[in-house]
Amino acid sequence: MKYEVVIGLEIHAELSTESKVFCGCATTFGAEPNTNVCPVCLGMPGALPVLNKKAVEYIVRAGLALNCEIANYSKMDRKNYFYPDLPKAYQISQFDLPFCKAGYLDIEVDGLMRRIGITRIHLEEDAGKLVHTPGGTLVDYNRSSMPLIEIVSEPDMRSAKEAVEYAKAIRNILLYAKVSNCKMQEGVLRFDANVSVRPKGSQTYGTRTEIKNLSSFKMLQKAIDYEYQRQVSMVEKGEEIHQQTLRWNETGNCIIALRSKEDAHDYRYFPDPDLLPVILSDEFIEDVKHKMPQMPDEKKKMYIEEFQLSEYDAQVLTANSELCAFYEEILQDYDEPKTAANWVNVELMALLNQNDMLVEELAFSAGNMAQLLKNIQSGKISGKMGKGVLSEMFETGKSPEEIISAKGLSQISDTAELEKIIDKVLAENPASVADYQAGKEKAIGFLVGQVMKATKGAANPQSVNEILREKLKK
Amino acid sequence: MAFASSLDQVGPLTKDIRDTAIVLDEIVKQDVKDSTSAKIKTNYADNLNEDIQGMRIGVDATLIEASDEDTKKAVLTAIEKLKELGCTIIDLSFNHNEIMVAVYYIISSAEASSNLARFDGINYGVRIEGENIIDTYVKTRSWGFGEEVKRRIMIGTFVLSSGYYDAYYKKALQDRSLIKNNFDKAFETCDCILSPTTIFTAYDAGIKLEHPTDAYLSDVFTPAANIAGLPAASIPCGFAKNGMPIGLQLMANSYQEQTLLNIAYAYQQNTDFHLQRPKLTKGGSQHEV
Ligand SMILES: [Zn+2]
Repeated sequence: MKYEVVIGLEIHAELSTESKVFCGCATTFGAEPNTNVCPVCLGMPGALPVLNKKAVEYIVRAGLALNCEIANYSKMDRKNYFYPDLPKAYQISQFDLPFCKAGYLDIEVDGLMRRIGITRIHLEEDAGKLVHTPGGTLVDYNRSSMPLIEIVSEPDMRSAKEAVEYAKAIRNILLYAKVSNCKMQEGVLRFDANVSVRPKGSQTYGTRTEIKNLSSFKMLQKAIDYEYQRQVSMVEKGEEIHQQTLRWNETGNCIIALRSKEDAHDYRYFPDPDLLPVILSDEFIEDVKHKMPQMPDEKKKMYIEEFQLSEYDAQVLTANSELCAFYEEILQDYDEPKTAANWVNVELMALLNQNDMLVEELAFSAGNMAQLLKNIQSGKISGKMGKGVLSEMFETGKSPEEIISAKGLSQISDTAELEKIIDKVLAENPASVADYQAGKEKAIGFLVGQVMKATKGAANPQSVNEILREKLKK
Repeated sequence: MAFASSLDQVGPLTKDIRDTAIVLDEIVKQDVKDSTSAKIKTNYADNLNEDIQGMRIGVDATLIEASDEDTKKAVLTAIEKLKELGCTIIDLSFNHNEIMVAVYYIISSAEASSNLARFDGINYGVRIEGENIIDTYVKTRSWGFGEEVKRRIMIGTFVLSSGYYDAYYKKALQDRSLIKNNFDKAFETCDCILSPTTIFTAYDAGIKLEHPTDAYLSDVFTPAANIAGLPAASIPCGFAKNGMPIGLQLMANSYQEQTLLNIAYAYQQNTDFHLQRPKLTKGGSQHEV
């Protein structure tokens, strides 16, 4: 029998607000343990939460970017459970009235468009972090009360690849919407995957399991593949699948059961009486919409219509928000969008792919890249030289100016200087001059070659050709 | 420390209404670190006015009937005094008197169970080390809380549990809305609602109750203000035969503190119960002027 996997994702993304969601503490990453804390995020008696308006603006922005309905009335609830990283012994989250619901995201997988439903997006606070040491377990509350959004999808994905593509697309949207920096290595983006299997063609869902806290696309892919195989082999053996919470073990490349349905927490959700219901006026929502950064679809349209880019170039540039930002930064100093797109998508991409690197890991800035393109535009160096300079920038991080002057690169376009060299070449090659003047057109090719050799390739071949013909007429 | 956040309210305990007004003018100011505090401008003390001619006072007679004899007598006398001062009495009949105590104890216990959860021995207060983290929680909380607090935590945890939530907590929230609506309607016909503060006077100190929840029943009149979010005042209106003081409760509509204070002020300008001290004696008390 053929089986189909059914996947739903819960994506937790930390918002990039400057302060935490219910207090004024800084959200800077990597601070000394327990330095970004105050009575509120430490859960001290008597301290009260105050909702961060920016966080509300950001979640509304994320909701709009993901085609959600924005609730005019929502509220914050308490999710009660005991754990040492949770100082109040409850997490402020949202239960039945989240800020955003009923959205979707279109993704392309293997050339096919797929629409993934988004059930809801809610706002919540993060917990602290346990640090296990030989002397005992310590708690760092810097992360306590950091603003998080949880994006819950419908069970609309049918392969691990689709789930990964969806997760990547969500990351891209959040980056474009400028609501999260989405730094995977800092744990800013985390995934929970709900996985079930069913015979292909079946309309009912199988029993699902939930794999918690996956922190990279690779882990997401591996964990879903593993769980799919595990469930299929269980079904084939006639075993029953139990609703469970699981954890992916990266070192063992396997799945570990955390708890079964019977041990599931009873979170005793109820409205947080310390916070008022949040009423968002239509004006507020409109205002957020109005101030929304440009989303990839809009950018793509603009690139094609205004910059005259090909559909392909526009697609490649907008599919990756960091690449897109890099491209637009080049255009701040350089005014030929088509040429810039070509250099980014062909030359720069080739270097990145060969080295398996991301654009944000580049050693040089977009400003450097613009400088390089300007040198080519002005004819100071040739396009061919430019490629060499780019790969050196890539390796050393040096500015194009440094590389060009250190190497003595410059396309000799100063006619007087070029004429001197050409005169010398003509004097040294009387035979070729005679051949050309006798009607052998080919001879000019040899002479151009000699000039280029004499200038170490720094002359503009076009100008050399023109000057030669002019001189040989005489 | 928060007990039941949606019901908790601070209030001044003062010698007379003028002092109340002075303190209230300060404590009503907005606290930007408390999302539930409102931004309003007040000057209650300077606007105190003993002319309460034409004020409509709502009274639900069943509440007075339910009280003990001494309380009843004192409250009825107070009503006569207010009539003398030009007030009209409006008859009210609430259908929520029976559920008031239950609503209050369900909501307050639910919130308390969550508010007090942070006292788990991890980063605030006492800790009794256990074998493991769960054991530490259990030992710390078993040792640290008193009987009555534990009882409220258990009630609160129970009413929020899945399977009981709808029957208790959710029902209590629905009843809370109903009570609020009843008061909204009542304040269309009156400016202030009057009742005894308690159904009977204070127990003797140190007395042991047969059922720990019996004491909850004396709270019939006071939770209304917390549940419906209304300003209320309790002012002395007499003494029982055993010398125990009797309180008169006045409640006004939301943000109508000035009306409430004016009525109480007028009453105190024309009575002297607030100037008398109960005289405490063994096995009862006598009051003196
Ligand atoms: Zn803080």
